[in-house]
Amino acid sequence: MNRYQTHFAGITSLALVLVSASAALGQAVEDPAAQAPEAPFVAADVAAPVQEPAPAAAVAAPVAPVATPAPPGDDARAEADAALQAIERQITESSNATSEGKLDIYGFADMGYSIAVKKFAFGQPYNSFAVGNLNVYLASNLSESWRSLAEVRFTYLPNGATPIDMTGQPMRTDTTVPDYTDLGRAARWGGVMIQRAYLEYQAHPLLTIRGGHFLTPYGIWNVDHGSPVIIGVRRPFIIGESLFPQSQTGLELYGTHNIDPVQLGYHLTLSNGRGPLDTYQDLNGNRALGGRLFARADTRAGAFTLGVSGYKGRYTDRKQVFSAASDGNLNVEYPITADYNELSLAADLKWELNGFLLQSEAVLNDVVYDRQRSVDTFVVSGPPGFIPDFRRIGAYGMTGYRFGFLGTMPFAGAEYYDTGRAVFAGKSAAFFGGLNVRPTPRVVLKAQYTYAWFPDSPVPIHDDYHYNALDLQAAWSF
Amino acid sequence: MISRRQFLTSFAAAGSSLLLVPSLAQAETGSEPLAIISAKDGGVAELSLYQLKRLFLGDQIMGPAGELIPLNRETKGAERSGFDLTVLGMSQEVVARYWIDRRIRGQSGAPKTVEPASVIQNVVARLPRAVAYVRLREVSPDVQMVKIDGRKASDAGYPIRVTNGNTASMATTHGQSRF
Repeated sequence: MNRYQTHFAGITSLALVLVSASAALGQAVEDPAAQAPEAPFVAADVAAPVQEPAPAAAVAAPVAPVATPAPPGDDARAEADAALQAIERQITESSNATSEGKLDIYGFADMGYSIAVKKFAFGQPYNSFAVGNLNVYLASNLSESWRSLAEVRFTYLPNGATPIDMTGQPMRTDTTVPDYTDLGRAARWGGVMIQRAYLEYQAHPLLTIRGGHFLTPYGIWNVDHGSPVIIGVRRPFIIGESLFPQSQTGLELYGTHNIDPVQLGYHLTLSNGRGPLDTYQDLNGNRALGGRLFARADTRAGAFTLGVSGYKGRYTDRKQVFSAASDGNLNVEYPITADYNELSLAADLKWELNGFLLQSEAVLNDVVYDRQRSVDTFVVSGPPGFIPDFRRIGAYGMTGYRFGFLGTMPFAGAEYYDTGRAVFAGKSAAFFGGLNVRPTPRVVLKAQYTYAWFPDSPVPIHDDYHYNALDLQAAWSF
Repeated sequence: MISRRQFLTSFAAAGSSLLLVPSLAQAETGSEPLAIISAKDGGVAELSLYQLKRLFLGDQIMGPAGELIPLNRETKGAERSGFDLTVLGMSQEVVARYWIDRRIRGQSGAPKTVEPASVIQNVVARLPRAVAYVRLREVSPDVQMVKIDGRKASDAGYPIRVTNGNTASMATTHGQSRF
């Protein structure tokens, strides 16, 4: 199969998915909002209030708890009273989606097909299907004020991951093991990544206290990380580059205040900061501080959201060394192997007007070594040395318009990233564009073309160093 | 091979779909008003349209008895589609997307749905923090009508109305997004 036939096969696959989705559209148009994860009150045994029989039109509604007017009398009144109390309990014990103590399980997944339009020296030359994210949420309202959320991602990794070994060659991880449930035949195991797990207490609209492992509240698409929510096939490159930690473990306070027509909000974080074990161990005595301020204005010219974020912390890695002291006792030491201070700043802007969207984020990360420096493994010229202080900076902007027809949204954007270091691909830039189609609220079909290049690279660049790819993706929530 | 006529017809059909759909659907001024209701004893008496919108989009809004509890109507009903369009500025399709996206972000889910008007009013009458909506002619004497931007549902210029349920076209107020 030549390259064009391969491209055609991929595009045909997407077309088939689109056609299937269109077939399902009839249902979506008939009852689109019925697919929203609402919490309908369902109480088939609730009697109608005595004084006001339900109108026939309302009785026809599928979630209507009332079928017939109850006969008058004390018993009927008592029954109606009990039923109303049941509704009230449901509503007051948990004013949100889930009832108290009940576990709400939902999630999202995506699959895609990547087409290397042109050979890229550092990418796979073969077009591939892949299941990307399979994330499951476990949410529960523990009481009216207490809520818990955990999100885990199931992944095929680490199978097939190719870290670079000591000789500089990629070394593929193989998780194949004999499966004792199937006569020892080969099976590959995958992994589970805990994306977030926290408990939160809602004291007031101005104050919610969250403790645990949470996504760092910065910008737009670090928190909006689910593939059905992201407009393109993947987040802009700089968002994945962790100029801010993607998640932190510690405490987060947040709240909002509405001053018609503006909503003001804040987030404050105190955490272990970034580190090799940051989800459960801090290897220095410094807590990291972070925060975000945002304002959202609903005006006749659209909804504008402007946010600024910051993070300051210290990364430390240590090893544990056992040694025997001269008096025969065991000494345990924790020498530092890597250590630096970092400061991250970001700003984001979003403008939504009916179907129109314009959004942009700019992120900066300063790394300063004040004592321990790692050996620089990416020196491209000159003698070996140590990692210098550096500043990473990146930005992206994108725009799109969501039409009513199949929820179709053409989008386009550009991004730029400077790693702040004189290494190969130290600076990169990209244009991207594509189509996001949402035939039903729960299904999103995407096609995105990306062209990226590496300006000012200190090593010679030829065509194979330009990234040139078409990605197709179907993402869905369940 | 596709003929020129087929090509032109397909192109025209696709183009007209894209161009016609985003037309703005204004609130039907001739249609029936939807009254916002709360408990007579201790319920909220007045809200701005903006507060009402934020409340039904999942934000915490405080009332005299504490955090307000929004109660929705059934999704297929004209009351619901009218409310979504004239308060939230969204079609039902967009509302569905909104709540799905919100849950993926890890935020709270949609308000509870209670039907019919008689039951929801009985619930509201007993819950000082509850806020709901019913047709003006269905308002029970057990609840109070909440003023929105200083107007009652019976006043001229009151913006919240029932629609005929056809909200396929997109919305309207305050530049609400379609995402």
